Amino acid sequence: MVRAKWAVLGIVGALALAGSGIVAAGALQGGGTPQQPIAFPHDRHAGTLQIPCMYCHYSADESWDAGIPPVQTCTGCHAPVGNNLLFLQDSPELQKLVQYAQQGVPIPWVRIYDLPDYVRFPHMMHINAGLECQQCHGPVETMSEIELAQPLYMGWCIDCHQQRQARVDCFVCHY
Amino acid sequence: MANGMERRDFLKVLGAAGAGASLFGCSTQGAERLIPYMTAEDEIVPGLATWYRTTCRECPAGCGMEIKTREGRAIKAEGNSLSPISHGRLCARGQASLHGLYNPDRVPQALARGEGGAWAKITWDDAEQRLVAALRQAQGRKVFLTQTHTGSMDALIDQWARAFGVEVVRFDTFGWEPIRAANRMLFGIDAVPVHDFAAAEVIVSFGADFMETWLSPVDYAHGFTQSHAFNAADGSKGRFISVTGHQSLTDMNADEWLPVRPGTEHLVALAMARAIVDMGRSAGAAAGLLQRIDVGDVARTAGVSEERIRAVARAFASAPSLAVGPGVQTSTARATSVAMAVALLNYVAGNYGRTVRFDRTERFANTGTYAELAALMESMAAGQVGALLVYGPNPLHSVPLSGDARTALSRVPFVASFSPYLDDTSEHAHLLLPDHHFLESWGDYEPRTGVYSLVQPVMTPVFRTKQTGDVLLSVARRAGVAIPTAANTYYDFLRERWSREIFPRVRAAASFEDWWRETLQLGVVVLDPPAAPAVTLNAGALAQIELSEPEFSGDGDLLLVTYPSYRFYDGRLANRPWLQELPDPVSKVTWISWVEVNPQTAERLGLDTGSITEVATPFGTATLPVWVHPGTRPDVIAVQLGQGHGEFGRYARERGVNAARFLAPVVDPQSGGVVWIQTRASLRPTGKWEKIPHAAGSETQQGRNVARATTLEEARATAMALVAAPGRARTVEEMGGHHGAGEAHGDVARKPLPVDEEVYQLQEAGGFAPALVEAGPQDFPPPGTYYGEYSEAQPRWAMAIDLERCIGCSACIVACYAENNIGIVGPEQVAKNRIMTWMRIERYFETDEHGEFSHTRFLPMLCQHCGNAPCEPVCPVYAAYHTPDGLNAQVYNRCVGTRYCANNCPYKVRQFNWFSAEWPEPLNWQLNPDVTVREKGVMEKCTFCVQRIRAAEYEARLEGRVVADGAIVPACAQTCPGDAIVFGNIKDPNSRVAKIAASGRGYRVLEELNTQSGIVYLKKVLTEASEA
Repeated sequence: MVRAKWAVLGIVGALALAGSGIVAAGALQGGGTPQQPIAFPHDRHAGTLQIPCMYCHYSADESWDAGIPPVQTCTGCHAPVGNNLLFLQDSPELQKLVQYAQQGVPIPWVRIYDLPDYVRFPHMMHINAGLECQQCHGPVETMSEIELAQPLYMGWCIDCHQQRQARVDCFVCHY
Repeated sequence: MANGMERRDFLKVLGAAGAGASLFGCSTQGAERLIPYMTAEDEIVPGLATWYRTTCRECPAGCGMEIKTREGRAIKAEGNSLSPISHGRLCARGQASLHGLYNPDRVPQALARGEGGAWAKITWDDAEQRLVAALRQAQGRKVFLTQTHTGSMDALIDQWARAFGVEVVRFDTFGWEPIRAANRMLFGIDAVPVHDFAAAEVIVSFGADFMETWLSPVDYAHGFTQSHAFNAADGSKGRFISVTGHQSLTDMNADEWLPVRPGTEHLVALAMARAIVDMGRSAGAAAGLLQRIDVGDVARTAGVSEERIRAVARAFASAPSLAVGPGVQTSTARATSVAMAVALLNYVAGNYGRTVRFDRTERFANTGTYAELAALMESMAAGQVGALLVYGPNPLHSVPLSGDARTALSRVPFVASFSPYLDDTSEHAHLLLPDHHFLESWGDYEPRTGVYSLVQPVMTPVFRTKQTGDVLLSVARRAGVAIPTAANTYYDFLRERWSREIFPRVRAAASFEDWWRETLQLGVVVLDPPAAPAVTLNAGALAQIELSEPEFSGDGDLLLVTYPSYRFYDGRLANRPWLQELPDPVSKVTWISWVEVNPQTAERLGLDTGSITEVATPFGTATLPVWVHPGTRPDVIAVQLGQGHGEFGRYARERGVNAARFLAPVVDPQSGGVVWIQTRASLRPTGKWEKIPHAAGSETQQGRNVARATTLEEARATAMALVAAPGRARTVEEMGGHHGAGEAHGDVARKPLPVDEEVYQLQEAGGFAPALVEAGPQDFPPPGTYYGEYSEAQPRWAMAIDLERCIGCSACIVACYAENNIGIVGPEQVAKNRIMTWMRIERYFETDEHGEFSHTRFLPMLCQHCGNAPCEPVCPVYAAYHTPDGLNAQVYNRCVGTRYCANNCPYKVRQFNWFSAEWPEPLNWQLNPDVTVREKGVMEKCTFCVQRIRAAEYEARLEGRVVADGAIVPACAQTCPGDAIVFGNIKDPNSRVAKIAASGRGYRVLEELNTQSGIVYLKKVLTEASEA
């Protein structure tokens, strides 16, 4: 299916790929959900418990990067101490968290939304323009595992930019 | 095609192969990982920069610095605007400091010589214990060889050495012993004064390369452009006269060149002083000496006319003036006499207390001399030294040595080095204790009296190195040796000293803790200068001025001038790939060494640039390519110092020739300094020729009138006319015309055609019509391009570059490399014209009406962001196109590498990636994450630092305001010591760039091609003396 998609891109697109050697990264193709080091349930955190996205992704409104929570943020609630109700002794996933925290090893999350290296994406401008996280990332609050809501094709970016009369100039994102 | 395959089919196949290849790279095994922090870092927001202020330690000048870090890694160096040394600017060396930090050839941890002499990795515990044991066991002299550190480090070294019974020898390659000696003898002040170039209207330099390496180059270059560049507000312009037999970069900026015979500089300075006294000035105690100087005799000896000496003296006496010297290239055996004569000249002109000041002095209070080093080498050769600790200098490379001095080091039973790199000296050590790079270190530096600049770590250390201050303290603890200032770490030592010595003098209301935290943010503390000592001439010392010429050894017919490298200082920075690839500001040669030869001499010997010759002195012989340099006297050849390392990592090892190896270790008996100009040389052609890796487009303008100049009268008249009639839009003719200044304008500006016809015509002509459109850079979009978003409401980002303020130093180029992830290609590719630089400084040698060399012009050339760009219509995939805000964009992910754009660019500013650039780990840590790393097959060029434009736009938008004028500063403009480059929206008549562009000297390069470029150059202003 992916192969078919590339075929219709036509000569210019193919030439651009072959000639430039810059190869589109995985996120564009979508499909499949990779195994994460810890099966983090976004549906429970963002859905059931209604924790705001920016509690963990803390720099989305001020920085180009949304920010991945430090392990400390996880253990802030899930501390394996006393009779902490948020620390479920029988949860194998939380046991993994404890291991990472105690060994001082950061959790190597697999990146799902990975733009090619020739794209600059300012999270802060999109959040401050009033977009909901879900408009790009899909209904995260219902996902037991994060999956790509839509392949990050440029046409999809441009559609939205045109609707909202945002800039569609190449040099806004590609430099 | 023979097999029936159509072109379209071929492309499809190619495309499918490309797509297939891309799919292999997309399995989840290859997926990127998101690595979070363990705990939140207060100072780090991912995606945003954090800045730290520190002090540059690449050369002894000590410029205040700001380091941009991203996610805990230093990615860009800029100047600290609070520093009186850097004024917010940096030179090329400071810009390249990150290549010292991330150098792949750093010593990664402590090393010791193991079995068979091979290096073995050891722990720091082990290393320190070995040092303690060696110090205990050493027989004979124990010596700590170091350089000027000033501040806390000098204090610690002195305390530590005294406690251990170790002698300290401090040696700076360029320690300016003659200047210190001259001031000691003449005025009883053992110091190097601070020179106020900004206050001097007439500057005479006797070979001092004050824009390159001399004392404080960024401050001095900044001051020089302030006083020297044409000032449209009052029509003033300074004058710079260079007196030297060989022109380095500094001298190439002179309005007037007196190419005196080397060895006569002191006589010329005295003759100028005499001429000033003849004008009725008092010489005070020097009257008797100056009576013995005959200006005519000196003129004949020096090879310049008496009238010129008198004219220069007249100018010197008639305005606030400044004489400086000697530099390395005038450090003959008479260097101390040159320094004394220069001091007398300043004295007679009344410059002390005005442009030459002893209230603050340059940092040489603790510095030793070359004579001390030479004595140490002799002692080592005699087997008297039992232990040698080297912290800083690399004497086996940087200075002339006698033959047996080279084996002297091997007679020392124990040599330890704190060098972060294996270099010519440290490779002979038994124990290596690699120091942190200064960007990983705590420390301080006192570049001048009362100027205290802090050094703080901007990131965690890249390797398992240890700061030498900490090693010294730790070794003292292990040895049970008490040091007066008790401290566990060097950080504690530093704070202790600051709380005791500096904090009480700042009269701060806050506690030390608060003040310390604030000072770390400011980076520098400037206290009031102490009272200046009285400058009274000691008449008895005048007899020390030698009135004879120095003897030169050897019997060649040419005199060998060695001079410091702007890029490598004394050679300590030769392992920075940015600096190796940076075209030398003088010759534009990269990576190699060369010998500079006058055009007449070259012709006489049948040589040309690239001819391979054998240069021989009584002390050394080497094969070097010739570079023909009109700024060299016919009887002089010149070789730059700094290259030719035996060991210094992959970028410097055995590259070029070490010019110090042409010289004997001759000590100036008056000052103890190095005699750099001491020997004659012969030049023997080998008959071979090589294409040398240089980046000079052309040595002359070939009649194209690219780097234009005007006269002072014309510049004044234009500036005054603009004051009289402000606000009037100027025509193209008024902006300089199309055929240079002073010529009649035969062309009549053609009326714009109707839009459609114009576009058609432009396309027919391949993008630019050979016709004139009456439009300035502020008239954007130009006729023929206004469609859609290209509306009046958009800004037009543009640049103004003042050729009066460009000194050709090329700091902008390294800044551009750092900011924009530009690849290093190496000498072979540079020789094929494949250097990737987005910016080059064109250097043109101008001739007078007799065809004689008259002066040099510099012109920074970068993408002109043409409103009517020739590159755009020829791109088959729209990778080169114009943005609504006036940028000429290159979209890398569209580019297919046809190179049509580069072929069609009249400015030759587009570079093609013939290979994917490589950054050996950890050099890649420096890469700017805001800029795409380009790959093989892609065209690239200057973007006007679009990442900075976008960042400023977003910041303004989030704060609900418009982008303020001056908020966007491209990397080149940011670092320029001369403030030559101004960037902004030229459509806003109140912006600085619009005002400067309209200030009367503006023109656009190759304007006649109707490219409607976005860079306005301001003409250089020629003064009468050097006017062609």
